[in-house]
Amino acid sequence: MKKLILTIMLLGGLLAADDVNITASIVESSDQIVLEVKVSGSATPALKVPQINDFEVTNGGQSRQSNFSIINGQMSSTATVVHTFILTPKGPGKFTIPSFTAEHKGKIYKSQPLQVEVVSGGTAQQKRGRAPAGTVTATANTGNENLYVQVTVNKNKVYVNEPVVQTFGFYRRINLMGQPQYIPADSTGFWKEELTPQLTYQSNGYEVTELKTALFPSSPGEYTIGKATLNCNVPDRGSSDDFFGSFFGRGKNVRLESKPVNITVMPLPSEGKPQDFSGTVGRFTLSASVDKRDVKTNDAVNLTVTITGLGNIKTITEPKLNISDEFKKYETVTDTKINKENYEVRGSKIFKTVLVPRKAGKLTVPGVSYSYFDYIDKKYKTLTSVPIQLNVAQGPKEETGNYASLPSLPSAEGVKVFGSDIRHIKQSDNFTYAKRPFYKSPFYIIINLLPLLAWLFILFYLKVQKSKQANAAYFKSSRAYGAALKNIKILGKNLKKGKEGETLGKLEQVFAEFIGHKISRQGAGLSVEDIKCVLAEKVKEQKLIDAAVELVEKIHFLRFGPSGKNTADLVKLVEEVKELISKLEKAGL
Amino acid sequence: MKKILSLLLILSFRVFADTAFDGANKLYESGKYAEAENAYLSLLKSGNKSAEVYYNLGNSYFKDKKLGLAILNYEKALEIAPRDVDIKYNLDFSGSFIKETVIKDTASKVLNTLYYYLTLNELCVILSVCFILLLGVLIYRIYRKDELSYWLRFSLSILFGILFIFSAVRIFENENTKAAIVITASVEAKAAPIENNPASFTIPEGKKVYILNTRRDWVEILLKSENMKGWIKKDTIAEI
Repeated sequence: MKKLILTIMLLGGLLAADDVNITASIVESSDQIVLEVKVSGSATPALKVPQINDFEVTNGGQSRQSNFSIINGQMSSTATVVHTFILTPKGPGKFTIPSFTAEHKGKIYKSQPLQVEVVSGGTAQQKRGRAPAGTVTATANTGNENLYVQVTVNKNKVYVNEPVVQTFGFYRRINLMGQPQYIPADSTGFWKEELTPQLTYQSNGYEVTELKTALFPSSPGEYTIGKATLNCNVPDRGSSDDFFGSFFGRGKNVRLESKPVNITVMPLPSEGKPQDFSGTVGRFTLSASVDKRDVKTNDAVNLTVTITGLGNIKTITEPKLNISDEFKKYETVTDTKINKENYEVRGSKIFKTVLVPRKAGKLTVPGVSYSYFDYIDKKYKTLTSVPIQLNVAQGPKEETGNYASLPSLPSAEGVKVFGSDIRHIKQSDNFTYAKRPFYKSPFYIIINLLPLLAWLFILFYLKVQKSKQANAAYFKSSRAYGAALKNIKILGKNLKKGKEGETLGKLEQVFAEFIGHKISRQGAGLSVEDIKCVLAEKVKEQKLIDAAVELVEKIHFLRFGPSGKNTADLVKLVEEVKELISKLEKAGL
Repeated sequence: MKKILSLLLILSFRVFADTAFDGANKLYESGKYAEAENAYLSLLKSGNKSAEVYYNLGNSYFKDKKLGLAILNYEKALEIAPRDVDIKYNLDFSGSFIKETVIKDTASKVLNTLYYYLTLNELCVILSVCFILLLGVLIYRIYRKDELSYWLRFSLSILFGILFIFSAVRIFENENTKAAIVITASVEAKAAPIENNPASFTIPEGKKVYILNTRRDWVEILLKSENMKGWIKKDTIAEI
C-alpha cells in the first residue's frame, strides 16, 4: 500500500486583484490529500476546477463564511467560500496541482500551482485493535482513534454455497457532519443478500453502526472481499473546541477504508454425494401436501412441496416428482419466501404442481425426496416426504380430443414403437419378374391394330358399297332423258312402218321408265298415283304436273279403251309425250 | 420335341433359382450381408430379375451400410412391383437416412403413389382392352344402333381418351427420363465436365438424380426438387 508520509505544503499564492482572492492549500494528508481552495473577497465567483490527472478527485463540498466589519465608520463585507477536494494519488511521485481559476467582472483570478510529492511506504498506517470480541475471525479496520471502519466475517473457511455473514462496522467517538457515504466492499464471486436492519449500539464509548450482508460463495477457490469505503465529513479537529467553528459547520472530509478480508471456499465433499444432489447447501426440512384428498377424475389436485430452512433459498432447485401416468401433470409454479431475522438467511421455497387423476380408485402421489448438503453437520442429507393417498371417484369422461392435445404424455395403450428398422427380406419364391415394356413389342401393336383395321375395313367397305349404288342411280337418272327420247324415236319409226299395235303400251312404258330412272326405281311398277306423287315432289309447276297426269291417263284410256286408233292420232300422241318429257327434264325432274 | 426341351430347361432353371434364392436368404439371416449381396447379385446375373431379389439385395446393402445401393435396388424392385407395401416402406425408411431435409407433403405423396400405382405394362394392357372393346362397340354400331351401344361407346371413348393420354405421358417419361441413384458418399457436382473445375454443390448418397447428358465419363444430372444441374462422374451414380 502506498502511503503518503509527507507532502510539501504550499500556500497558494494570492493573485490579489481588487478584492477577490483565491488560495489553495493542503490541509491534511494521510492516504489522501485534502485540498482547500478558498475564494474570498467582496464577491465570491464560481470556481473553475482544472483537470488533475495524477489524482482521483472527489468533491468534498463547500462552506461559506461572511464577515462584516466597520472600520473607521466604513462598513465592508467580505465573504469566503471554502471548496474542499479530496485527492487520492494514483501512484508515488512528484506532482503538480494546477491553478484554480475564478472569473469576476471580466477578470480572471488564479491560485498558485502546488507541488506535491507522494512517497510510498507504510509507516503512517494507523492501526486500531478495538474490535469488539465475539465470533469475529477476521477483522480489518482503518481510521484514527475517533473514527474507524472495519469489515468482519463470521468465518473465513466455508463450503460452496455456505452462508458467510459479512459485517461492516463503523466506530466513532465524535459527531459527524452530514450523512456519510458508504461504498460497499467488492465481493465478486459471491451471491449477496443484504441483512437488515442496520444495527446501532454503544460500545467502549464508541457509537457503533453495523451493516450485515450474507454472502454465498458460488464456486470453490480463494476469494478476497475488497475494502469497503466510507466518506464522511467531520468537524475540523483544530477547531473542534471552538464553538463558532462547529456552529458555522466548518468540517473536513475523511475517507475511511477497511482492510480486505480473505475467504477460502472449499468444494463440497465428493464422498457420500447422493445421485439426485443438485447443489443445494443449507439446512432444510421438506413437506408435501395436497389441497384435497377426495377428488373425481379429471379434477385438479394441487400438490404443494415446501422446502424450508437455512441457506440460499433462491437457489433451491425444483425437487423431482415421480408422478406416474395415472396423473396428468402440469408445469410447476414456484414461490420464494425469505426471512432475514437474526441476521440469517432463512425461508422457504414452495413448489406448486397441478395433478389431474386420470382414473378412478385409490391413487398414490409418491413421496418427494430432496438431497442437500448440511454445512453444519458437514454431510449430505436426503429428505423424503410421506406418500399421499388420494381417493379418486369417477368423474365425467374426458373428451378424447383433449386427450390427444397433450402430446407430452405417452399413451398408455396402443402400439409402442421402440426403434425402427427395415422390413425383413422376402422368402416366397413366387417371383414377380421384370418384363420388357409391352408397348415396344410387335405383338402388342398387332393386337391393337387388328380390331382397328377390322373396323376401318368395315367402314371402308360399306362406304364403297354405298357409293357404288349411288353412282348407278345417278347414271340412270342422267341417262333417263336420252333413253326416253331414243325410245320415242324408235316408236316413231315403228309407227311409220305401220306397227302401231304395241305403240300405246310402249309409250306408257317409256314414260314410266323415264320417271322410274329419275327416282332409281323400276318404271314398270309405277301407277298413275305414284307418278303423281313423284312429280309433285320434284316439279314445282302444278300445270305441268296436271298435263303429265292427264296425258298418262289419256294413254291409259286409249290403250285399254274400245275406241279405234288411227296412226295420225298415235303420231300426235308420241309427239305430245316427247314434248312433255323434255318439259319435265327442263323443270328439274 | 423342341418345345418339350425348352420347357424342361425353364423348369430346371426355376429349381436352380429357388435353391440359390433360399441360400442367399439364409446368408442374410445369419448376418453375412456381404456374402448375401454377392449371392443375390449372381441370381440377378443368371436372369432372375425379380422384385423379390432386388428387394432382398436392397436389404442386404442397407444392413451393410451401403445406403445408395440399397435405395437403388429398392427403386428397381418398386418399378417391378409398385404396389408392394414392404418395398415402399423400406424405400421410405432408407430414404429418411439421406442427409438432407426433404419436406414432402401428403398430397404429393398420394399423387405420386397414384401415378405409379400401375406398372407401364399393366397400363398398356388396360389401354388395349379398352381400345378393343371400343372398336367392338363401334363395329356393332355400324349394323345396329341401339341405346346400350350408344352409352357404351360414349363411356368407353372417354375412358380410352384418359387412359391414352396417361399412358402416353408415362411412356414418354419412361423413354426420356433416366433416373439414377447416387451410390457413393457425398458426390461433388461441378458446373462443367472438367476435372479441375471447383465443385458447385454436393449431393448426398442415396439421392435420386435425373440424367440429362453424357460426355465420356461425365454425366449431367438434374436434381428435380432443388432444380439444380451439375456434372458428376459417371461411376458415382447407378441408373435405376
